[in-house]
Amino acid sequence: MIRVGTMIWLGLIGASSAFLFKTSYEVQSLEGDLRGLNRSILREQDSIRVMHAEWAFLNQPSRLQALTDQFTKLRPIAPTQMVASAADVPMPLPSLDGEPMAPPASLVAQVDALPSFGPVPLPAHRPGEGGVLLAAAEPMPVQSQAASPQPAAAPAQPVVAPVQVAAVEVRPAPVVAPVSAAPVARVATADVPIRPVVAPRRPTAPLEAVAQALAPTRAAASDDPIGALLSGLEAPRGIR
Amino acid sequence: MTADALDGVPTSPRQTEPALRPAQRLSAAIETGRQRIVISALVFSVTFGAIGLKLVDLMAFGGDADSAMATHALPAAAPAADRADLRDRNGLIVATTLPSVSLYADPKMVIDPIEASLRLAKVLPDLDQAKVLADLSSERRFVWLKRGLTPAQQYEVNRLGIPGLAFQNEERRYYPTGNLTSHVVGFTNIDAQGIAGLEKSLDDRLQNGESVALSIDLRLQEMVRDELKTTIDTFHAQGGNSVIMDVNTGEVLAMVSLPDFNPYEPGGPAEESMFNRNTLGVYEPGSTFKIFNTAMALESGTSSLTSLYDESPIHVGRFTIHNFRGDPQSGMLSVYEIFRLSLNTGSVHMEEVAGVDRQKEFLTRLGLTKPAPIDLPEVGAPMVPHPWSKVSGMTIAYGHGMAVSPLSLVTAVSAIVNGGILHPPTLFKRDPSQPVPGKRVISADLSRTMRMLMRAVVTGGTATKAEVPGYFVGGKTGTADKAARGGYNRRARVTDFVGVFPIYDPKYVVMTMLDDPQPIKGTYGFASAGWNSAPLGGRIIARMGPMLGVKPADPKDPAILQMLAPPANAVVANLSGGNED
Repeated sequence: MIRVGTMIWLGLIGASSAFLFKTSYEVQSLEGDLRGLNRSILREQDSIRVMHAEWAFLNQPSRLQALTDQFTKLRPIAPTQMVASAADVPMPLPSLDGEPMAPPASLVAQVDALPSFGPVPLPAHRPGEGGVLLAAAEPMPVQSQAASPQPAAAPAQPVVAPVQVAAVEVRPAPVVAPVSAAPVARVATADVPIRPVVAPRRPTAPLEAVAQALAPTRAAASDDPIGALLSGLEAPRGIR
Repeated sequence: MTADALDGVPTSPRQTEPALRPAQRLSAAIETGRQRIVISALVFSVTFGAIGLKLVDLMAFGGDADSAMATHALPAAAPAADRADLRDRNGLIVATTLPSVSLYADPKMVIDPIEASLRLAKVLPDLDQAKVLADLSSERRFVWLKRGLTPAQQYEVNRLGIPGLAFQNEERRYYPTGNLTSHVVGFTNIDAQGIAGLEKSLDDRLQNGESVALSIDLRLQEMVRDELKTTIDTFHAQGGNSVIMDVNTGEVLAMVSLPDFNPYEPGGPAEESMFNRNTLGVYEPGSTFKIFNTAMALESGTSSLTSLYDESPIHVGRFTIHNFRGDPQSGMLSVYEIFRLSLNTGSVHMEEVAGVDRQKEFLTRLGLTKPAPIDLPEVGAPMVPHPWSKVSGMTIAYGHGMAVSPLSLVTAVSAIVNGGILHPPTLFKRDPSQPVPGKRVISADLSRTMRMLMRAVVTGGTATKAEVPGYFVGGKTGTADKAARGGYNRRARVTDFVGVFPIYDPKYVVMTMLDDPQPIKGTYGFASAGWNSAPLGGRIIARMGPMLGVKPADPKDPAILQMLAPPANAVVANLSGGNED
């Protein structure tokens, strides 16, 4: 005769064995998952390394230089372009009613105090690649605007309006900008020392020549988004 | 129970007695049987108990062996200890390790070597089919067929399904920038062990997975290589090299030696391309050494800037020391003018007055008599005269008779201009929070004087073509005849230039050197340093300054001009300079 106690014990044993088996199999399957995850982590790490290497390869300075020469007009920065930081740039704010304000006297003095250099030499560049662009740009008369020699002559004119002023001298016919006589008088000739900060050197005159020289590489500007973007950037409304 | 009862073998004399009664014998037998059953039960229960315990252990706790596996499974996700990366100072990868697959074969298992080799050659066109056939027909059990397959090639080979071929997972060193850093980084052999350059000297650290940041700036490196290459082509030179060093830390920001080599195919056709001119090469630097000669003479107190020395040719034994043609050949000139115009005879007299011992001690102090302490295996020992005679002292005064590596030269010049602290050169990025090792070798005052002198060389001396407006370049040129068997080759020369900028607060030293540049159209028949190495140095400075964010100063800044002005009585009026020697 089987006693009740024995039955209970047998039941408990059965239940605990079943639970043990279940847990054990769960652990096994979780371990399998873990191994799989570890394997895929290693795979991912490998592919991350490959991509890092590819990134480094694509960022080789020589490759970037070649791409820059081919697709942009950017050139190495010349030391003379580093004269002042952004904080030094005189930037008179327009007054609230839209009338431009005359630069305060302290700003004018500050501009005058900026170092001046001789004619800005074109930055050294490789004779090989990008030479087309350089050749086109070389004979360009460096247009500049001496902002401060007679600041009193045109107090109403903001200091930063070099583009229109330069355009007037280069292409006199389509005078589009409402330029008074005073700014024209302020157009400097090429031999006046340049103040690079105040007068951004924008290649105004031979812009067409530069564009022509670039034509082979930039012919299909429509189907090349970067080219289209750049050509948009290169032709500010004030010039063409 | 007794021993007799236990063993149950009728050996005891009592059991053999016939006098025992039957009932007594029966109960003894039953007792024996009972005892035997108890013993067996004990044995069985111990055995089953042990098995049961082991089962519980295996099922509930996973067992010892399994638990060891489980703890190992977790760290397996950490990156395998492959050879670590080398990065430049901005974190760009210069050398890295990528997984790769290599193909090998067990020729015994290959059924048809001819067919196998034909099909392999179709998939891997760069394999030599005849060699593969020979390998596959050999008696060996293991032959490499091709190391470093691409994934696509691996797939193709797998698709062929040739029995006996197998893949081995390996690691392969990869240099994204190729030739650009070949002399600095070096290369590894096919088993990823460093055998040249930093790959060799850092082998242990890299093997242990420790990534290293170099002091090299890849942007500068590329720019310098670009300019150097252009200049070498222009002047039809045999080669050239350039070093840029941060004067305040001793970090080498760029180190280029041309011709260079492809790190994947080292030792190609030109053995010469493996040669690192910056560290392994030692050259007589020519007039550049006058920096040290002048500093030594001024420090010793035997000369001042205004001391006058004779400029007529000096006869020593069968040799004559004279100045470069076009320079003064007679008369008395001040130390200032001697340095500015780079006059040999005046320099020799300055050295004679100071003495050979002082010269030897000074050059030793600047580390010029020992190999440069740089972390490269390829370091050349300087060629120092033995014995250091009076005549050697005279020639060393203008940079002949002693050969040093360009890196040593740059390190010593850094110490001269940075206020007098000699920092050991390094190719590793320094931690800005740590103090830079260094020891004082000259006084800050003397350093200031030397800066003024080096500025004069650029404003009105032999290195005018190195000037960059706004950057206040100071420097010194040197032109030396190339040493040839038993003397000098008068027609071959090495030109070098050491430039410092900005000279009023030096930040960087740029050294350029050209091996046998030729006179070209536009240099009026000259091929001395002022015509090739100095302009190259100027171009490098003009491009590196903006890259590193060095702000130019007003060329007419009175405070700076005042700082760099020579003493009035040292200057000779109407003395033209600029022989560009």
